[in-house]
Amino acid sequence: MKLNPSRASFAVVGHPNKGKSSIVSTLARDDSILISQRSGTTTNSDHYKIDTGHAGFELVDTPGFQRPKKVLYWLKQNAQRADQRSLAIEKFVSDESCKAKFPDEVELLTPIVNGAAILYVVDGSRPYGVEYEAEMEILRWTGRPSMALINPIENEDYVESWKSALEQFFKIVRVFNPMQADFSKQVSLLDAFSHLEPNWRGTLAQVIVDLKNHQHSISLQSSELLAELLIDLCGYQYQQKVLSESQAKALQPMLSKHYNQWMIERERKAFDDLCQLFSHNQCKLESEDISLPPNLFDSEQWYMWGLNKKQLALASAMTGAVTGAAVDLAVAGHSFMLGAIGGAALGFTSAWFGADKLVQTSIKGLPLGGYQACQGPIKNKNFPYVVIGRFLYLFEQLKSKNHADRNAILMSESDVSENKLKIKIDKMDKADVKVLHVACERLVSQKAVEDLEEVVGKLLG
Amino acid sequence: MPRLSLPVLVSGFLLGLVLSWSLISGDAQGRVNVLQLVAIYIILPIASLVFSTASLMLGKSWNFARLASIFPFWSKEYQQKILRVTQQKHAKWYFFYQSQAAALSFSCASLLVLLMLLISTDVNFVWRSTLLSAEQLFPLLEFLAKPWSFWSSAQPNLELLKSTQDFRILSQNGLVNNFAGWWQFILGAQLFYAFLLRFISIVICKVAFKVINGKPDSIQLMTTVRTQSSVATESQLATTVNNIESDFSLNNWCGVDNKLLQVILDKLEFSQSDEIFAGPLASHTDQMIAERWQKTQLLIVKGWEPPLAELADFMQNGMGYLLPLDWDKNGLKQLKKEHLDEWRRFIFQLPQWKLLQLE
Repeated sequence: MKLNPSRASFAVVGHPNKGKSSIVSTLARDDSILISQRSGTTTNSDHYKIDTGHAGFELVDTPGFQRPKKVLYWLKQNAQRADQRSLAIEKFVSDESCKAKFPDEVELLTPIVNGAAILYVVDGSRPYGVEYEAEMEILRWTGRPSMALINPIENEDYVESWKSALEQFFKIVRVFNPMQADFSKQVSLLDAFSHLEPNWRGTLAQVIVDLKNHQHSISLQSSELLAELLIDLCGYQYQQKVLSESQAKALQPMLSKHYNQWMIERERKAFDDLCQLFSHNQCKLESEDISLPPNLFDSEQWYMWGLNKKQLALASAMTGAVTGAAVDLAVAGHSFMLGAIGGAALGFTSAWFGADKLVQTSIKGLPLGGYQACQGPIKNKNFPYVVIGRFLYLFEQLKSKNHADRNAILMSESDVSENKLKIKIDKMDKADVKVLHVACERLVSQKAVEDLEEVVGKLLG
Repeated sequence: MPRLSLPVLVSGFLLGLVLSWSLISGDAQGRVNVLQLVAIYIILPIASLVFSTASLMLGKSWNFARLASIFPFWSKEYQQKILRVTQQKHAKWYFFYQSQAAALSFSCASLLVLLMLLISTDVNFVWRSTLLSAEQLFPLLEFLAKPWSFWSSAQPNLELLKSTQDFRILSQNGLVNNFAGWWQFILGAQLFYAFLLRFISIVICKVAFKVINGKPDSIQLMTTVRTQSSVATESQLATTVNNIESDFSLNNWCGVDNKLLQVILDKLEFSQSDEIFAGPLASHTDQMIAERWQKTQLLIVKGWEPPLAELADFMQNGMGYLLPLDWDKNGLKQLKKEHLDEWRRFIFQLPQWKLLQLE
């Protein structure tokens, strides 16, 4: 299968267990790629097409070299002169006996023969070995553009000796740790890729632009997630209508349980959404549930349609006024608006004085009034900051977490302490801090905060 | 796309019902002032649309739905819902959308009332004005009726205008049929100004919601062209031994230097006897000899490197001890567990070999 020559394509090759799959996972920003400490996990060349919206590139995760010395021997038997070497490689990947004897090498060399550039991966934490020279020589024979990546898996002790060896075989040599490389390093590596093949410069430049835009859009969408989470957690109330106050009080444990569960699940959902936003779909989060303040229970009287006394009186006044106004209109204004005024007065008075009777009244067994047991909303002024602190911590962890890193994110009490958030808030512009405090105050007072995502967006940077 | 708010829709419908009924039912003689109908079916919809659109673009989007939301008589649940909506980024569009739906609901009620009354009673459309004459009013009505100019019977005409002018002090002397002549004009006004314009604004809202909620520049990550490699299955581990029970031929596969080699031999309490050469550093001839070697071997490999097929091929023909080593600048070091396990899995497949671990 020939690769599209205009699409940048890179075959990630090397010894087994040198982090090839990790590099693919980080560059493709996909945590579903299988990474294992056991060798030989990648048995086929797995092709990953990365689409960034306006451009894209392809990465091929290949199995490691298994018999490089024998393969080089075979190639030498089939090419006596330098001009025959690339043809010998082509012959090698199509030869049936080679497919049977050297399946791994055939598998890894095929995408290169089909047009992919070479990304050769070695471990910079282990000493250079002569045994690598056979595979580097084979790759040189392909004649394809190539780059070596030194992956310092455990440390950087042998990076320099590797560099001096690799520079003899490869045009570009870079140190790249797929577990720790931040966004700028990933972009820098993609930029280096564009120097391998002039035809790919345009598309890879667009990929970099797309990725930068994507980073920005993640921040914006994270702000939206946080704003929605704050609105939900600060405003949530769970309520149940009952006939008497004692029944309302009896419901407290059930309401409290339901309320807490809802709050915890809502936060978890926001965390899951945040992980997905960063394409960390498999990411595990180990954290304690958000702690909620006690004494969130309340009960109040209600009348028709769940309205309280004041609301019922106002609604009745409005209905009376509208009905009266219709009468005024029907008599073409001859009533001098007395219909509207009288209707409003009648509605208000009858609702105000008749409300208490409604509690005892029922129509066909359905009561027209009663009590409402409520759990929440939280009025503790500190609560929005707790929510922000926890979300912000996860946001920062995800921002710096590469897709090759499969460790769970741990969130302890100390990680999300008030002091840590305070330090971040102190770094903000004074005007923004004021806006944030006002917004948090309004949230717990059950008042609308417009442009909340912009307010919290300042914290997320 | 947000769901339509039932309270707002019902409010719009009731308002349309009450207003239209009180106007179109007319007075005792069934007289209805056409100019009042023009006010509520043309001027009111246009004015409210212009106001709410301007407020959407320039301000906080004040409109019917937002005004209705601040009334205190809504239930707690509904108030919470409104509070939540108000804080969202599409709040302005939400209220605008609900208002357009309410206006459409108002129009439905108005149309229903008009049709009901046209069928069930004699509606006499007249017009009254102290300042305006028929000649002055006609161009305005003609202009307003331009959008449905293809519908000739719904167009106003000067004769009709003159014949339906009403003066309460005078007795009416026009033809009775003329008084019904305005109903098509009124229907046209309702359909265009109340229905069509609102319908268009609702469509615009839908597009706006799509744009607002669309995720910008999201990366669509990867399509696996071929199936991904399968996960390695669990396999058994070989046990390790700590000493060699017989003489052996040394096979320094990984090219350990002599100094380190001596340390190994000292640890094993052996002095070196034969040596064979195989592996990546060996010549082709030496390799061929080593592959035919029948005596017990001590095969030294780099413990951190995974066992390659090249090594497995070689070991198929021989027998002995495999010693995976780990070292750095300071000398030998303990093999990591994951590396040791790798070798234990490997040796389990080769029963003629034993895995040697230095104590």
